[in-house]
Amino acid sequence: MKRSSFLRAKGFGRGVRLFNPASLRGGAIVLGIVVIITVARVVFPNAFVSAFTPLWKSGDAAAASVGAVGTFFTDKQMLAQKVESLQQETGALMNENSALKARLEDLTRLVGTRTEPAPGVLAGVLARPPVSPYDVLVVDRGTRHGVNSGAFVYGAGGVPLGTIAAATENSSRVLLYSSPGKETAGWIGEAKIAVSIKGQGSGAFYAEVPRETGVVVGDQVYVAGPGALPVGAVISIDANPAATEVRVRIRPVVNPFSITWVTVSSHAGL
Amino acid sequence: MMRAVLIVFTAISLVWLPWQWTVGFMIVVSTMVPLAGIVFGVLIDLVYAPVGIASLPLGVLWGAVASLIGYLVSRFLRARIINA
Repeated sequence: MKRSSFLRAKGFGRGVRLFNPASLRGGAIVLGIVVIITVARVVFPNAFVSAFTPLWKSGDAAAASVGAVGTFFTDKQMLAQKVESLQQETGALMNENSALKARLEDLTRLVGTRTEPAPGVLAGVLARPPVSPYDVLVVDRGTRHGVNSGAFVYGAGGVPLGTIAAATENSSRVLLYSSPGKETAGWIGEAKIAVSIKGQGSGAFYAEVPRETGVVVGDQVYVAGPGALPVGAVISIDANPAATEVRVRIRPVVNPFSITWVTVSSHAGL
Repeated sequence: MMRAVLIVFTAISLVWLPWQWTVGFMIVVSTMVPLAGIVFGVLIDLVYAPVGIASLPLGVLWGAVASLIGYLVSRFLRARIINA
């Protein structure tokens, strides 16, 4: 039988030693580096996040510049249409703004200028999935701004996203509820059936519920916050006729791939 | 030169590009510097994985895979050159 070109190359089994002294020396050096940075991670767990923060910030700035350059190549007619639609939208928003301004003046006269304190710390997102592999957000606010480990993190509209897993002086890492392996207590549907919501990565969740609970596609899924806050909706139910439980797949309300701002509660969770 | 450029690209992709791209770069770099894969894998986990994360250390695992692929490819290429 004719041997494959791979075997004919004589790279394996004869002629060439598996490890030569140079490889071993190189391996020892790299192993040493790995050990040093692993020990550094244990001793200074957040040092690397602080070191990388300027890079993430410059990346955001560069991405914005590249986006602006990209518009140069788009079709002019399309741009003209876009400008026209934006002008119309601006006009509508100005009208709405005037109406709201008048209403605000009325209400201010009625109840004064008392307002509730801000619900937390507003933080910009420096890194998000798919750049981060664990459904982790890196945000630009840290302990100096009142962000602490365990604090709850909310997206636009107060949608719960996760909790602060680690905070440095100027940045923090947010572990999303959808992080693979993460389990969060929650409820499904109007009946608020208690479930354990499990993260699958890339913003997706699933939960296993008894078959007789009657969960249907479209039911809202909630986690605890100030009350029950929606985090997603049921998109499919995988039912095995032999099993007593069904697997419910959940689509998040907020797409983690496009989160740019989050609000971090000023107090740590449980 | 090529080796240095690829290492820099891999480092940049760690903070600016999707992590799958970083894994791709890691595999390519590992064909030239086999153990670079595992180093970048550890770096991914250091930067992104909070302590106590529930899932497997993906960075280290992918780094090990990249290093293994890189090592086998470099051995194969070296054997081809020797026998040419």
